[in-house]
Parts: sequence; structure tokens; C-alpha cells
Amino acid sequence: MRLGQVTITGFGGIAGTAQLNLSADVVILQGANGFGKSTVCDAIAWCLSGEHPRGADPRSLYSLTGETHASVELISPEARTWTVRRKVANPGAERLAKLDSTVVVEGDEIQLRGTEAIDWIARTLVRATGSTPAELFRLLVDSYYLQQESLREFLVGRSDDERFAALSTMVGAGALEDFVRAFDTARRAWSRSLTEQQNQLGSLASLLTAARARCTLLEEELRHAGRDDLPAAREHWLQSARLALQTAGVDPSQDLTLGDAISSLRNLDAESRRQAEGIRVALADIEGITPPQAPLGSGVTRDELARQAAVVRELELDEERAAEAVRLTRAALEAQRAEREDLAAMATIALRHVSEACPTCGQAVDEGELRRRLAGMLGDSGGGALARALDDAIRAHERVGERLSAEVTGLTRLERVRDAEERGLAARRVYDERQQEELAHLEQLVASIPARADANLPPQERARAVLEQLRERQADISDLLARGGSLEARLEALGKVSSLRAAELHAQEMEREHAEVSATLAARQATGTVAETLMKELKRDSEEFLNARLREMQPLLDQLYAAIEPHPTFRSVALETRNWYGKNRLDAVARDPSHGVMMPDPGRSLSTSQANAMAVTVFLAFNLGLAPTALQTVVLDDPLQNLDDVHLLGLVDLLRRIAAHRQLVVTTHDRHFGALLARKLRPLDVSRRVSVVEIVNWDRSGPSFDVEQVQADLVPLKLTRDVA
Amino acid sequence: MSEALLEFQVASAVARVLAEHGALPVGLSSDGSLGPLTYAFEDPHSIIGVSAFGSAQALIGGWLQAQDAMARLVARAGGELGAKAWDTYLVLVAEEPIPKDSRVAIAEIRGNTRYARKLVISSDDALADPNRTQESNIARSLAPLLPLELPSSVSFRDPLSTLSGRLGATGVRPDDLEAVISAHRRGLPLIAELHSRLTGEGGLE
Repeated sequence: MRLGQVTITGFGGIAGTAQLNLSADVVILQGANGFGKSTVCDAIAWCLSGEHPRGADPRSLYSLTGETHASVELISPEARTWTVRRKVANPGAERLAKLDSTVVVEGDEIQLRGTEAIDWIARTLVRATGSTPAELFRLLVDSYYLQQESLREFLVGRSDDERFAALSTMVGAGALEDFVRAFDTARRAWSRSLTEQQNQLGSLASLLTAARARCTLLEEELRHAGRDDLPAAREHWLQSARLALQTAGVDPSQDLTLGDAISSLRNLDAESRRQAEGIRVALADIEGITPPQAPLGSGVTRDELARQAAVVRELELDEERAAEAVRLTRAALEAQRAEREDLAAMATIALRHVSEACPTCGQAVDEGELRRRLAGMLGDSGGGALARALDDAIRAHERVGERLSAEVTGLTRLERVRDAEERGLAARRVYDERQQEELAHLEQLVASIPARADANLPPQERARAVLEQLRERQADISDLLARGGSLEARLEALGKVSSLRAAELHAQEMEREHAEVSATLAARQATGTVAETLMKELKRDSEEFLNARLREMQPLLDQLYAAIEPHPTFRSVALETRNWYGKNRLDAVARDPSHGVMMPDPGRSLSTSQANAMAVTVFLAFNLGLAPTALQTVVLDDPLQNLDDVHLLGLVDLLRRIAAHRQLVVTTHDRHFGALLARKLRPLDVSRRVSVVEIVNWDRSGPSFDVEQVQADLVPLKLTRDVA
Repeated sequence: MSEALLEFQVASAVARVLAEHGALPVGLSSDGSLGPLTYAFEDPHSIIGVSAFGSAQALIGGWLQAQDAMARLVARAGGELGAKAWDTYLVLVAEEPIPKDSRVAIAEIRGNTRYARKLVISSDDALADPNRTQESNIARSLAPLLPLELPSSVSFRDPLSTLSGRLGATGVRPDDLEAVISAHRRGLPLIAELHSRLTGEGGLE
């Protein structure tokens, strides 16, 4: 199967549509860097596998059609053709993961879509089996398409166990690897389940021990319970209980059982305690009542109080009268003093104007006499009798007040005595009433208790007698209950015969289960041991299977490596497997056979040119020697990168030999390299075609191609034509 | 083969290997113009001159004459050579080991790509891998000129179908292993299937 027509739309840097016919034995795609050579290779890989080989988003940012589309024509050796089309919408900012791509395969009487189309591609192009579809498609792309630096990444970047897994798939051991992985996972799970079963067996052993111990305990209890004459003891106890209940006023049934009797006795015990407590509280209450302390019969009568009150009222009237007399005398004295002050004022004025004639009427007056009389008016204070009368009235008032005070004090004292006496009388009445109530309550309590007590005794004495009887009853009940409990326990122990049988059955069941689990575990452990042995063999075989394929491939790898000869002393390269910590791993090694020296990690140790040359030879060895894909095409994307002149010539010579076995698609940014390839890979007969596809222009819609066919050299032997 | 040529054992081996892989010998004229060339070959893709020297020193001193002789050989084809002019190879053979102090000069000759690609082969190369024959070692050195020999057949048999035959003693009978593989293909528990087979309880369905 080879590649034919390729159409790319809205992919990567190709916004429009680019069409390219690859149906030649050798296609040299040349163009400046950035002109879309890698995009063409990536689009082919995306179309066939559904994955962008460099993990990029396939959609063009400048998509002109709103979709990303690629179609690749596949041509069989018998010239049958199929076209694989893959399409994904290109709605702009929408994440690629949310978009479904559609795949269609058409041609040679088939038209398949979706899963059927994907199955067809895998079945037709990938020879390997096993692994996931994604891994198979990755293997497909890895095996025909050498991206720039990708194989160096395989040799240097991936871990050794990843390399082993990838190469296992490539050599067709993917199904074996899948089986080994699945078996190892199952074996580990089995081992974990064995641990769990061992734990379960341990738990069963503990339960079995416990069951046996319970049987022993029950046997012991039964032996103890069977020693006495239990029925006679039970009957005797029931008689005692019945009597105790009857004495306490309870009428037990004729078919009284042990349990009923114990229950009744417990009720009776509680009732007796309640009654005794009631009597004790009532007695305490009675004794706690205190008689009144107030004096009684002090001798103060109502008449004495009345008399004293009358004396007080009489004195209060006298005191009011005396006060009135004082007020009147004081008022008269004040009036007299006002009159004298007026006369003195007039006399003062008259004295300033006195002469021989009266200033008012003009009559002649005795001036001297007049002045004496006026002077006498000024000096006369007057009122001496009234002042004395006032003093007398005040003293009389004070005397009456003193007497009144004394009598009021006497009256107050008599009233206090009388009040105290009345309070004492009231308290006494309360005391008497409460004592009567408490005694009545006590008598009611005592009367409610069936007991023998002398009715002639005072209530408190009778109550104490009943209390004593209750105390004796409680002691009897306690004794009965203790003995009844013991009887009940022994009877219960006798009932454990069935428990013992159940426990023995349980123990037997446990023993059986323990034996079964133990046997099952032993068998499963044996299987685990076999599985472990098988696992070791599977891992050995998995490694050996890959080694056998690598050994088959090794002569070709030697040829290819020698053709480029990247290193003057490390002249041999090999891929070697090893098992490390239970995992199969794969490493590339370079050797100097003449000195037996090995370089374990040549991808890191060689120069870039040497490492790239080695990577190309390993890739070609995979493709030619392992042939993991039915696609008879090798796509080399700018293999010139970092190769020096000698390695470059070696590569070209090698490609010339590869071209006899594979369709070659080689891209290059170097026109001189392109021209060298065209000369050296020139066709030597008319049946072969070599195309040089020049990317002559590029804009946002995509590249423009100019295709030229390399002329065939139909007389390739120049010096030995005659000999040939 | 002349007596003189017998001295050049490595060169003779080179010639044999080239001839065995389909290269046609080119007759060298006796006029001495191609003297430095010991052999010449042609195949549809390339023209190969072989020049033998007794030692590395002689090689270093005489390789340019060999190259000139190669040019004269190619000139025989006149204007018909075309693109094949880019496919000329000069195999320079030193019959003795290359001493340490000559290695830089030899590497420079190898790296010289003017006119013809140079392959330098010494007796060291004939003994490069003690596990190979001398001719095999020389064939390896001539790899850039020899056609590819692809593996005769590449098979993709299901490795599981022949698994039981490849395994050593595991305590598992082949039919039991087949049953486990079958369980794997059907997505059934593998060790449970193995267990049921080992304990005779019958396979899982």
C-alpha cells in the first residue's frame, strides 16, 4: 500500500485547500522553512490516525471553510485504490476535545464511516495485534513517518520500559504484552485476595475458639445448677412468698409462678418502703411543729386602756386651749407694740416742729411741757403687763404639753403589751390547727397499712409500731427476693441445655467452615504459586520474543548503520532488552566490537549529527526489518537537520537503496540537497517515477506547488555496457 | 588475478565482496594511466574504484593520484555520464593497520567528498569484529556500496497462539494455558480460570 493523492483543507498553516499527488516511487518535497512541508506530512498522519503527530491542534487559525479536512489516497500493489477522509468542524474558539471528527473510507466497492472506517484502517495498515487502537495508530505513524528529532526523542526522551512496550507493539508482540500485563495484574489481585482470605481464616479461628469456650462455660454452669433438689426448694420458697404477700394484704393467685412471685414481692417491697417513708415524714413533720413563744395573760385590760386614752384625750384638749391663750396674748402684745411705735414716730416729728404756738392750730402751748410729754412718748415702751401675761400663758402651755407627753407614753406602752398578747393568741390557734391536721394525716396513713397495732395508743405511738412492722416486712422480703433470685438463676441455668446444644452446633459449623476455608485457601495458594511461576516465564518469554525479533532485525540494522557509519570506532548498534525490578526494558547500545567496549546510552553520548544518523538507521531498520505496517511508504521530514556532509551522503546513498523497497517521501528546506536527491535517486527505467515537488509560494491560504518529474536514466551502465 | 594483487589481501577481499554483490568489473587499461587503481567496478547506480596501498602512510601519500586515476576512468564515459557523475566512489585500502598518528589524516580523507565519496578500509576493518569473518567485516565496511539485504520474511503471527510451546516448566498444561488465554480474550478473570482448571472445577463460562 502506497500514498497517492493528498488533499488538505483548513489544516495547520493551510487555510484553503492544497492538493498534492504523491503517487510516485520517490517524492522530494522541497521548500523554504515555514512553507508547510511538515504540515503536509502531519496532515497525512492526522488523516490516517486521528492524532496530530506533534500533539498540535490540526485546525487552521485562518480556516476559510469552517472545517478541517484531509483525504489520503491509498494505492495497493494491484493498483486498487481507497480514499481515507477525515473531517472536523472548525468553529473557531471551541476546544478540539469537544469536537468529533468524522472518518470515511471509500473505494474499491466499500464505503465505510466512523468505527467501521477506523477498524478498516487499523486492519489494513497495521500488522501488529493487541494494544489499544490509539497505540496501534501511534505505532502506524511512528513506523512510516520520521519526524524531525522524533526518533532521537524515542531513544533519549522515553523511559526504557516505555521503549520496550512501544517496540513490543511494533514487532507484533503487543497482544503478548497485553496478556502479560493483564496476567500480572490478575496475579497481584489474586495475591491480595489470598491475604484477605488468610485474615478471614484468622478471624474464623478466633470465632471457633470463642465458640468452644462458650460450650465449656455452659457445661460448667449446667453441672453447678443440677446439684440441689431444685423443685422442693422452689415449692418451699413459693409458700413463704405467698404468706408474705398475704400478710401484706396481697392476695396471690393459686398458680403463682416463681417469676410472678418475685415480681409481686418486688412491688410489695417498693410499696412497704414507700409507706414507711410516708410515716417517717409525717412523724418528722409533727415533731417539727414549734409551739408559739409570745406571753399570755399580761393583765392589761380594755378598761385600763380606755381610761388612759380618755386622760390623753383630756390633756390634748387642755393643750389646745393653752396654745390658744398663748396665741391670743401674743397677738394683743403685738398690736400694742405697733400703736406705740406709731406714737413715737409722730412725737419725733412733732419734736422737730415744737414751738410756743401749736404748729397745727396756732394756739399757744407750753413748749417745755409739750416737749416733755412728747419725749415721754418717745421713751415709753409700754406693754409690760401684756408681756408678763404672755410669759404666763407660755409656761402654762408647756406644763400641759409635758403632762400630755407622759400620758401618751403610758398609753403606747399599754397598747404594745396588748398587741403582743393578741399575736400570741393567734399563733397558738395556728399551732393547734396544724397539729390536728398532721395527726389526722398520720392516722390516715397508719390506717391504710395492714398491720397489727393497739388502737388505744396515741397516733404517734401507733405509727411507730406500724413502722417497726414495715421494717420487719422489708427484711423478710429482701431475704425472699435473694433466695428467689438464686432459684431463678439456677432454673435459668437448667434452661441453658438448649443453648449448649446450639453452641455445640455452632462450634461444629465453625470447625467445618474453618476447614473448608483452610482447604480453599491452600488450593488458591497453590494456584498463586503456579501463577507466579507462570508470570516469570511469561516475562522471560515476552523479553525473549522481542529479542528474537530484534535478532532477526539486527543484520539489517548493521547494514543500515554501516552505510551511514556515524562513528569511527562504535561501529555497531543494537537494541537490547533487560529485566530490571520485574519490568522489561529496552535500551539502544553502541559497540566497538574490536575492543569489546559498549556505549550504553549513545543517544546522549554521540554528537548531534552522529545521534541523528543513528536514529535514522534505527527508524529505517524498524520500517524495513519489522514491517509493522502494510503502508510501504517512508516519510522523512527534513532528515538533513544537523547532518554533516559525510553522513548526508551516506544517508542519500542509503535512501537510494531504500527506494527499491519503499515509496519515499522526503522533505527538505535545502534546494541543493533536493537536487542531490533527485540526481542520486533518479529512475533507471520508465516504470519508476521520481517527482520533485517545489513549494514555490506560500500565503495564508496555503502553499503553491510546482511539480517536476525527474528524467529516467535508461542506460545506467556507462563503462561496462558491453560487459553487461 | 596477478601475483602483485595477491599481496593486497584486503583489496582482493574488497573486490570479491563487490563482485559477489553484483558490481561489474571494469577493465583497466594496461597503459598505466589508471595505475593507482587496483580494481574498478560499476553497477547501475555507481562507479567504484579500488586503490590498494601497503600502509596507511602510503595511502596518505598516494590517495590523490588514485583520485586522479578515478577521474580518468570516469572520463571514459565521456558526455554520457550524466547524473551518474555524482555516484563515483573511491575505496582506498591500506593493507596494514592504521597507526595512531595517521588517524587524523585518514579521517580527513574520509571526510573529503570532492569528486568522489571516499571509503577507507584497512586491515583493522577486516578484523573489526572478531565474531565475523574477514570478508564479512569488509562487507560491513563496504555497506554504503552494497545493496540492502532485507529479512527474507516478516511474520506477524499471533505470539499468544504459540505461547505454550515457548514456555518452560510452569506446572500449567498447554490446554489450561489456552483456556487462560481464551479467558483473557473474552475479558474474564484470568487467575480464576487458571484456578478452576488446576483444581478440576471446570472452566469459566
